[in-house]
Amino acid sequence: MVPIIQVKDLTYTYQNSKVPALQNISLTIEPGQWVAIVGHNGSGKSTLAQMLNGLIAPQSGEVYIDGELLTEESVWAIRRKIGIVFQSPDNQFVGATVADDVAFGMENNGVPRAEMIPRVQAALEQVGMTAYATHEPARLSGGQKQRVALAGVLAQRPQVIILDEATSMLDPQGRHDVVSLMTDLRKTGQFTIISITHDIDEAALADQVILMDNGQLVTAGTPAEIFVQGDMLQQHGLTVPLSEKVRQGLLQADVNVADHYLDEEQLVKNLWTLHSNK
Amino acid sequence: MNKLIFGRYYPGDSFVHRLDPRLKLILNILFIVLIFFAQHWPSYVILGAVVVVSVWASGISLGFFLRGLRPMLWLILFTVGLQLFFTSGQHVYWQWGWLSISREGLINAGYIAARFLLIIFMSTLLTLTTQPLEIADGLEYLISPLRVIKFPVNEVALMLSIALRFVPKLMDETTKIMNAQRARGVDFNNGSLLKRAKALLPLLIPLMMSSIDIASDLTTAMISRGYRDGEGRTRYRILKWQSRDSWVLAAFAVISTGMLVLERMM
Repeated sequence: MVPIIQVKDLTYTYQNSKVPALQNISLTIEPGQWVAIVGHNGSGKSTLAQMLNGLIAPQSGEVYIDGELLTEESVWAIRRKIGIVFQSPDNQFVGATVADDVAFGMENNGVPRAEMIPRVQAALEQVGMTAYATHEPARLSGGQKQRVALAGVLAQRPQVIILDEATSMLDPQGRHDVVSLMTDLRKTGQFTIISITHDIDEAALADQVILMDNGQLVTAGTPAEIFVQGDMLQQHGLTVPLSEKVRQGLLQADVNVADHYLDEEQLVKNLWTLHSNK
Repeated sequence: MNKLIFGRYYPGDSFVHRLDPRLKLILNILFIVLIFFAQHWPSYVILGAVVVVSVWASGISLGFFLRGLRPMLWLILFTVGLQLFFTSGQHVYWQWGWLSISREGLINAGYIAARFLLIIFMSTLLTLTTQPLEIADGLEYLISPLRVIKFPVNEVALMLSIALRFVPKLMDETTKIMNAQRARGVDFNNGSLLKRAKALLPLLIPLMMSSIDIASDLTTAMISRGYRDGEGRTRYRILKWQSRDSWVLAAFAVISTGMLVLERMM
């Protein structure tokens, strides 16, 4: 199987800075996976995301999307395969109303109007915003705007969806809505999802976690492999997920929980087992 | 400020609301031109009737209109006053120094007042019954012939639509910055003119910086979604000319011809 994203030896330094934002990053992502890229502010996550669709050109190294090398010629074709939802709900809302915003990407790619209308409707339905089609952005909440942004991406039918800190400016309810939408999308299996986040609980839902710090790739693995190394996470300015915190606390209180990372469901099961074995 | 209805949109679903924005824009321009052809009272009666019927068809109460126009009253009175006192004529009714009221002055002042009111009524009706977006779409259509002289119609239309879309956002931003600066002790409402002008700086500079941030975020988002330039784009939103639009246009043509003929005969 051709990896959907392959990054080789990527290096990039911003004009006004001495430290490179990215240093020799190499990674491979298989189609259909949900990959979370975590790291504290300034670790190079967003730079990496913008490099994947050619918003920033690497100073050295190569990016392959779906087997195709990202170059000046192929960049527009590649942008059709990648949809990005950015951080600020307001500043990425181009259209004057919800439906216009969802259609914007298709308009750019010359999709005929007759095809646009059902695609806009389908995308709005997928994110549960059908009732808001004619609303202006000023009348929507942050979470709703991000769902519209996601609908705009879905309407373009990309292969890869990148969420560049898409939940970081939302309230807990809005964040929950967007995250559960992402889990629904993963179930369809049509998309490779890359979520860039500092929310460690969001990262815990992914198939793969990539930890970045200071422009370098520190480690990559399944959530279970990464989160068990609590000290290492803290060294790189991150916290551990809630279930891991609870497990550590229980261990300190001499409760005999499992000695490896558990997600919330597993932790609850584990505690039940302990309780009934007493 | 809140009393001023000039330039605002009043949501509704009346006959006038549903007319094509292009038609409304064109009729507004034609109506204003027509007003300047009117030199006699019967013409003003006809034009006034057109306005009253239009307001009635829009489902917005005349009282709402009049209340909304109250802030403009001073402007009208001022202009009418100038006409009234400074027009020289043969039949002078009253004179005091260089101020005089003559018959010509009275007539002129009456005409000016009527023109003012009719123009304000009609253009307010346009903005009250047409969403800003529709006006932008209408304008885009109307300037599209300029494409022949390489005028970037698509870009201007996109600029207009983005500007309109960000008006409420920037208003919110302004209020937020104002309150934030107030919380830090900036006084926007008191002091001499110079002092007040200076107090605006801590409002304007953050507002400008935040506009630049928005612009850069928006550009990134637009490029990621495949925006290159106005060429080769398809359109989601289109305007539909319906039979009622043709009827209204025909009615307007009949009325304006009638009025012009009447003007000729007098």
